[in-house]
Amino acid sequence: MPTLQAILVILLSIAFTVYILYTARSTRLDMRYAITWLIVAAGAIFIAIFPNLIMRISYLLQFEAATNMLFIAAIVVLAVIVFRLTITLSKMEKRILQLTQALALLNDTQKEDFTNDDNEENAE
Amino acid sequence: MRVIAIIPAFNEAKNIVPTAKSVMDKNIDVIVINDASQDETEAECIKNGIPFISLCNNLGIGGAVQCGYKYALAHKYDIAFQFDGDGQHDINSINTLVEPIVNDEADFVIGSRFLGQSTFLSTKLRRIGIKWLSIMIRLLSGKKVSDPTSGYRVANARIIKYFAQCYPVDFPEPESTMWLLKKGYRVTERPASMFERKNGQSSIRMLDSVYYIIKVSLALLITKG
Repeated sequence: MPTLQAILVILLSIAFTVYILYTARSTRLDMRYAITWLIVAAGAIFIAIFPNLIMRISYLLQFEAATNMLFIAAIVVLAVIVFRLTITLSKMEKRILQLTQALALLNDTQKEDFTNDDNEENAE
Repeated sequence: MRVIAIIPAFNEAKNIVPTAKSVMDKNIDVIVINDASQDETEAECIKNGIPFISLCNNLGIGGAVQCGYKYALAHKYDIAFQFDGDGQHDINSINTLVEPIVNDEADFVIGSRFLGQSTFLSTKLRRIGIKWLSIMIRLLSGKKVSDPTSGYRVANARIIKYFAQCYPVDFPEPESTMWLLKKGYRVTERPASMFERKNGQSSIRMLDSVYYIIKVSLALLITKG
């Protein structure tokens, strides 16, 4: 018999999954990032369904309470996600930098083309 | 040899015209990189016939200077030098700085305010920071650079090409110098005179100094060979 908490976690995770898929379908969230969150939701459901397994693992790893282990696991997972996010951010900043420079140089060559055209017209 | 001055400018409407004119008066080509200034920097350039390109996003000093190197590469300049838009650098030092490159004795020349009789040496705290970075570069590369934070630097065609490809984003001077040393380029220093800022604020304020030193120190430590 699952506890009330377990049912709550499962319901929340299912709602989260639906929301992730909905966002991914409306292309506000890239599938690459959606997958990360789907795994998180699946993990939460797994934990809610098999609490005994979690108890067993936390006992083997000598945690005082299973919740301690879950908190640490959650923090580690979130830290990894945020770290990967900053990598993506750095990549995007680099791309914006390159685009900004390329645009500035392109605008400049067009400016030069105009002046050259003017000169040619004047020569005629 | 074709020489161009790369002048990065962010909100330098008051300084940019005299600074760029001082270079143009020496018959040296100039390109002002207007780093999305919100003041009249661009208007001043147009009004006074100063060649410029404008960035649509503010990229910071590193992105702006790199854009200048890309410009120098595209226009096939033999020598490019960085020259601050705020009037800190003295154009009269340029001959001394370019000489080692013209004679092919160096790929990259840093204008150092500590080698000659420069009138302005920066604040005491900042000098300690510069000394620290200088020691770090000495330990990590074995080469002596007395003024690693100097923004008055001359590059030959090889370095122009290298910097067009990669250049640090913020506080770029010590880090990029380290890259060149690790890559085995010939880096040398010559005395250059500098002035105190005429108008406006330096890009590095007191509060940022600690962050600056830590960030640059870490960057120097992890530089690949």
